[in-house]
Amino acid sequence: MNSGLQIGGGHGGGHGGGHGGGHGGGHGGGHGGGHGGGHGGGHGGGHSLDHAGGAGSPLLSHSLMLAHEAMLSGWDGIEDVNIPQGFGNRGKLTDLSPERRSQVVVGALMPEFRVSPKDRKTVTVQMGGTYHLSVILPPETTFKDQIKLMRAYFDLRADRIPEILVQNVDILSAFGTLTQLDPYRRGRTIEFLRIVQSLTIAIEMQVKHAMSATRPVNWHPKIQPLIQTPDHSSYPSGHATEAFAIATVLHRLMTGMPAATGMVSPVHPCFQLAFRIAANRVVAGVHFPIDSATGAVLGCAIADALLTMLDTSAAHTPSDAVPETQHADIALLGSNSDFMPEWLKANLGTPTVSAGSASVMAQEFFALLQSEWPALP
Amino acid sequence: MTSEHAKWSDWQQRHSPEVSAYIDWRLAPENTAVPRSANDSMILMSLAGAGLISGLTAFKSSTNNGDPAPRQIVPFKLGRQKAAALKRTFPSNRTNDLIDKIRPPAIADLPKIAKDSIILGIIDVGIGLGNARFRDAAGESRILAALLMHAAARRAKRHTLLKPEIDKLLTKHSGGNLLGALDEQAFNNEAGLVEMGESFGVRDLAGHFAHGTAVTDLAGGCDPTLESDFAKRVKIITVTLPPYQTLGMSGEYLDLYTTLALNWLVSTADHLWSKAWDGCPDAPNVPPGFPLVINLSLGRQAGAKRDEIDLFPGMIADLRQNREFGNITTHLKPRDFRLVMPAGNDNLDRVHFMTHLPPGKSRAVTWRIQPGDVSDNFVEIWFDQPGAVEHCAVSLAPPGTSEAPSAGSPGQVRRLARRSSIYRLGLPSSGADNLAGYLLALGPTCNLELEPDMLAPPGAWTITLHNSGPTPLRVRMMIQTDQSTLPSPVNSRRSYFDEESYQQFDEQGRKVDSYRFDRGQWVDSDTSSDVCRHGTLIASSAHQHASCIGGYRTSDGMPADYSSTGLGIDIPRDRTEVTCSLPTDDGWAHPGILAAGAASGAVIAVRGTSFASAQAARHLLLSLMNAPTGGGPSSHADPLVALAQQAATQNLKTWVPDAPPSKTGHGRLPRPDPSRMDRLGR
Repeated sequence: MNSGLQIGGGHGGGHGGGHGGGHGGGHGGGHGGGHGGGHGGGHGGGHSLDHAGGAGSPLLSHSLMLAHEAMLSGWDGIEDVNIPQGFGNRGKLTDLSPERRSQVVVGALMPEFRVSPKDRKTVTVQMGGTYHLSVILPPETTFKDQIKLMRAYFDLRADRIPEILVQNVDILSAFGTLTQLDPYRRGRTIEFLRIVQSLTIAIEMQVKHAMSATRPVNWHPKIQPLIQTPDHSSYPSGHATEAFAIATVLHRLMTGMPAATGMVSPVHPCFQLAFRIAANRVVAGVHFPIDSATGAVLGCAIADALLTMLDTSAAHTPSDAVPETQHADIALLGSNSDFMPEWLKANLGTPTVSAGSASVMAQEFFALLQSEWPALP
Repeated sequence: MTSEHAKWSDWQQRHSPEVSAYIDWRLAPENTAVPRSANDSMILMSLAGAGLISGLTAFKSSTNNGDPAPRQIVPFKLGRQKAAALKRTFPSNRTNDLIDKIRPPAIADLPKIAKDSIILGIIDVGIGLGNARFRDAAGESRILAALLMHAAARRAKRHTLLKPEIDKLLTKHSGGNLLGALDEQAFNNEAGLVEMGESFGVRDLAGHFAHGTAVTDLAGGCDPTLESDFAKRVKIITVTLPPYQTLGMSGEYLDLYTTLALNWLVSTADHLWSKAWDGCPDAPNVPPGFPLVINLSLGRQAGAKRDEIDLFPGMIADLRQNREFGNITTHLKPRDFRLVMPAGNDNLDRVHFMTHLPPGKSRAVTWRIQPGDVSDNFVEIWFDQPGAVEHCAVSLAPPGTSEAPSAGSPGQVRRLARRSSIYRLGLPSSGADNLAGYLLALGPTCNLELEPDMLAPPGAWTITLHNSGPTPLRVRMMIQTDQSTLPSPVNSRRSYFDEESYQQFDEQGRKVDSYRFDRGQWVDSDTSSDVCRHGTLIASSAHQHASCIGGYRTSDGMPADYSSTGLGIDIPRDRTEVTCSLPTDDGWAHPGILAAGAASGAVIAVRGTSFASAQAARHLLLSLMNAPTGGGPSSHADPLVALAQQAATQNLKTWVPDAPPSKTGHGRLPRPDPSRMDRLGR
């Protein structure tokens, strides 16, 4: 007994301290503090509650190893080995953690959206292989002219600072005010909206990188943004693209209708909110209104195309499953024009993609969330 | 600091001494190099049309063969003297066509409303015309006509919205159904109430607080399901003033716009009455005009503070007189309108100075100018005795310097480079009205685009007054209202009179109000200094032509410390006391009261006497609804006085007694709107 205690104590202390430090350093910042402290202190002190679905620890592994050695007896690895139940069945997405599910579904959807820079001023986003939407860089005079509009928006700064700061890191929470988005009733919906945002970011960042439009702060020293100017292109606005993509999906879930329908007066609250999120970036001084406009068209198109490709309902017959390839350019907002619902309504396209053509893994997930919207047509 | 080479010029005659000194200050060649605000061109554009005073109308009954006379509205000019004075004060540059657009809507275009209607007129900024509180149970607008002065000044095609058009826009942005959900942002954009495309457009309604929406709500907003009779009978007409950048950083053009707005409201209400009674045989036998209550919750601090001497009260008197006697051929006087205004929120701002100056004596006072101030600062000097100015010399010395007082003649000006000017006010012909003294003007202390020697140095400027005459003089100095150049008022720092003898806080660290409640009685605490709270009523309402409303705290009945105080001593034609008080704070820890936010359904806490005024206007509307004859209020007795005296019997036992009338007026009226609660759950 005495001997055992001494050995245990020596192992626990040494492993706990070392692991805690390493883990904490790796994660960094707040996360590191929590993780490092919890693991190192908890395990070192002998309070192991993890594993069995949670994280591991050296002490736990050590104790399991001891138990394994004690129980191994003379097992030779041949005796009583049978084929496990369910072997060979395809895995269910519900077996996975939300993070893993997101990786699977985003990865499954990504091939449906191919971003191809044509030249310095044109980038085409190919959706479902059949809809080619081109983003065109406006002339520099347009950006110059739009600074006057930005100046007008700066009058709203005192009013919008809280929203600007929150939306800098969190767009989704604002949409949770329009319908119930809680992890128990609409957990899949929240996951899907995050997937849509991740997918949209992956697309928009490629477009932005190809466009490389200068941020407003570089046009005049009196722009003075309220937040850190991001490192990537101003055009098109990522916040607008994501907000309108999320709005399009949530609007579809709430009403069953495509984005264009939500733009009919009175503009559906999902899109009113997306307009506000986009405008707040102009107020903050990190975007031109034309960034928002192009981002909005792109975001709506991505989401509309996605929803069609995920739609496996019986309404779509095989004959309309493969539409003809279509090309469209995103129209440019006028130099002196503000970004308004009428403009978006007039410039929204209808992505021609095959219904139900998305990866079965993505469709499987979409089917899961539809049970959270029983009233859907 | 000021360059040592800068010296005051001698007194010089102005080229056009009748032009407002404020305008001279802005436009003087010495000052044109100074970009006082980025939108001077907008102001000048507005001024270009400012000569226009057409559009005033009154009732005229044509008598033909004894038949029931169809009422006709004919335009009339302002009294010739007043109109000429206004045109001189605000010179018309080239054209009057802008202001020609500020005309009341034609009778034919106005809706025909019920004869027992009561009209509420609002002059303000940021009035949300689509707000649910201004609509009736059918979703229709209770706002019958709205003038958008900012649009008119910009020559916009659409600057007047009438009820049919408002309803049309409401329907359009509610999915084709008036009772549908309104996309208010789209409505505001299309109605021209939010102008993101204009450099100096109106944008109040794009934020969460809009002054005019809160004011209109408190005065005339309602839930039509709870107050159906109110919604049915009280109709609203509104004038939205240009954004305050356009009004000038110190509000100097406010009088012009408010005068035009008042004319428009009265004329529009009269046109509405004509439409309502069109073709009615008994029309000649009723007093013409709907009962009309107008709320104007804006104003400026410095001015004559005398009934007819300031332009604004003079114009009200003129308008009223013309309506009553000028053009009326009927034997019945028209129903009068009542104008309700706030006392102001300047009580503790150290903006009012009053002293007795014995013969041969001088008095110096520190005018503290703050650093980082991008707007101009002004002090007006006024006297109680006509002609007293002839015996009073004045000087203004930058920090660390001294300057001997000297007297100017009417229309003269002294200048200190580009930083400062002293104007002798008044005209030689002013006679008994010659109470005006001087206007002291200072440029900004901060403007990164200017050379430092073009800026006024911040710090302790010294104003010195000297009585060179044989009799004592009573002199009053007032610091003008100081508007910010931007919506968030952080770059406009108000100057103040800095006297050691002025006590800001008591021994317990509380702010010292005009009176303190000490051992069961009110004691004047304004006795130690010539810088005083008494006399801080805004010049725009310190006269007898408007009700002047103060604020109090609902929890214990204490007067709101910021609520301005009347002079309290009897000076001819001045307003010595406020009319009455209304709640402006729910409690010590709950400043402000609840009112409508910028968007329908939003509720925010708003604070200040603007909102006391709006509630007083509602009390008037409610008393008119209950009047057996539906008759209008008399022009000679303020019905709010009687209402306040009645309300005194219901004051809570836990309240302190009424403070003296200069602070609280004739009593404290309760909140008149049953659909809003205070935050202490009452």
